[in-house]
Amino acid sequence: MPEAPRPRAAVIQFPGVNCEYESARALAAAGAEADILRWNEDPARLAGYDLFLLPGGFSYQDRVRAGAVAAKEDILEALADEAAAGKPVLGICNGAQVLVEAGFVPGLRGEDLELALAPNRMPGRRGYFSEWCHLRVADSTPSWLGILSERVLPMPFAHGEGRFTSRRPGLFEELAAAGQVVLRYADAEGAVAAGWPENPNGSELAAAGVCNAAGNVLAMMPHPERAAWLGQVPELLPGPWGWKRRRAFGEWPRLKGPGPGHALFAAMVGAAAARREAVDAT
Amino acid sequence: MRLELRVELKTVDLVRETAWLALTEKLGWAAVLADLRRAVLWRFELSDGDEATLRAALAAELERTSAFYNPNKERHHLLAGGALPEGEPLAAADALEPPPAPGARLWRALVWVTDEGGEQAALRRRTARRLPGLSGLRAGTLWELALRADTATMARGLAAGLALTRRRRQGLLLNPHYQEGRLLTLAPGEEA
Repeated sequence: MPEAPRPRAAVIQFPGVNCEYESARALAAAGAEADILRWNEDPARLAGYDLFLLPGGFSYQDRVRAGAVAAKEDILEALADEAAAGKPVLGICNGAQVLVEAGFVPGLRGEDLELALAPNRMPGRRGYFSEWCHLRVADSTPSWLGILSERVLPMPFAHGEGRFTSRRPGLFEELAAAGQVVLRYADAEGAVAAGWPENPNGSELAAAGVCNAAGNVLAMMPHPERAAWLGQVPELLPGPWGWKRRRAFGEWPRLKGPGPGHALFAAMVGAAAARREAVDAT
Repeated sequence: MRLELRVELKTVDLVRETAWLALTEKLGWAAVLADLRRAVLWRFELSDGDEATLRAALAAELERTSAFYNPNKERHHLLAGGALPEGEPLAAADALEPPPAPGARLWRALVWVTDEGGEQAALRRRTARRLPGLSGLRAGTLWELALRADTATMARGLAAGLALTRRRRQGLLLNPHYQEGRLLTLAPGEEA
């Protein structure tokens, strides 16, 4: 029986992003055939891909507002069509800001803008912050992350505008009840963050990643591509991944093994493969 | 009493250029939006003291610190007390979309975009030591829009329509989930 072709991934490169190469490499390590696709390519090309990633960085230099200008690009219209067809879409950091500004998440009211990734704001602390955090995966979620066996993932973040918020009262409670607050900042044991520094930016409900109602589009602020290999994990990180990292000290083959972010990419590529299989079968 | 400081780049403003291109080429406002300018507006709320003394104290503070503007790349104008009104919030309900056919008259609108909780508390504490009576300090982006509309009501709707982001293809200049836009002034204008 011939081996199924690898799912094709498009990493969309807006001017000013800076994480496209490591994101493509992480997708390839998870089993995808990853291309970097410039934002001004023919949007019709998106139809040839099975999954999409909007990488981190500073699209359009964060002019006007992080993600705001990239959200108006024609390629987002085509991406909306692909997302509506159920293909997995992941926005990381600036990519998440683009997805929020473009109304992909939470997507409860069509294309309406329902959220913001606002400037970080915690009591007595504002502005850019970069550190490792722990993420708690929702117990029940429509996202492709629902298949993860590991529910607490350490990951780095680096942002100045990552505070999930909304003017709509009760929106985050509604999203959490529906499993759309897929990732929440937590401590190393998985207890949801009650304040700084575990919640680094003041996000409502300590949200770190929010998906759409169908679960195929995920906007997350931390960077899984910076945790895709064990060698990227800090040795002093609390929890089992820090322990694994210390145990692998000096052992290059083990350090090149999967890190905590790999599972996220593997889940996404797996979801894309399953979707294509289902489409091909019909 | 209120004093206001307007700060603009001396050089080409790339944020303005990008916003202009997004509004006119991506969002279809080319026929309605005749011009767009950007500045930073600082608003100093003062609880006591006479205006002349306070203006002098603020001018000295501007010379002493680069917290409010960078003289190497920016120019500033200290506005007369009360030169700009409090303004009124832009409302999504008023927003006109898609951009209608351009009207016959030119209107100039000043829209001030501030972040929620944007009170500059730390800076205020430092500045207040040298500026007696300072009770509030806010900063935000001031967008000056030149709009083609037949009436003031229509011009107000246009300002709301292009400033307030409501959907992927509607609005750009502010995200109402953490920012507020106030229409400070709206007046008939002249062609540049």
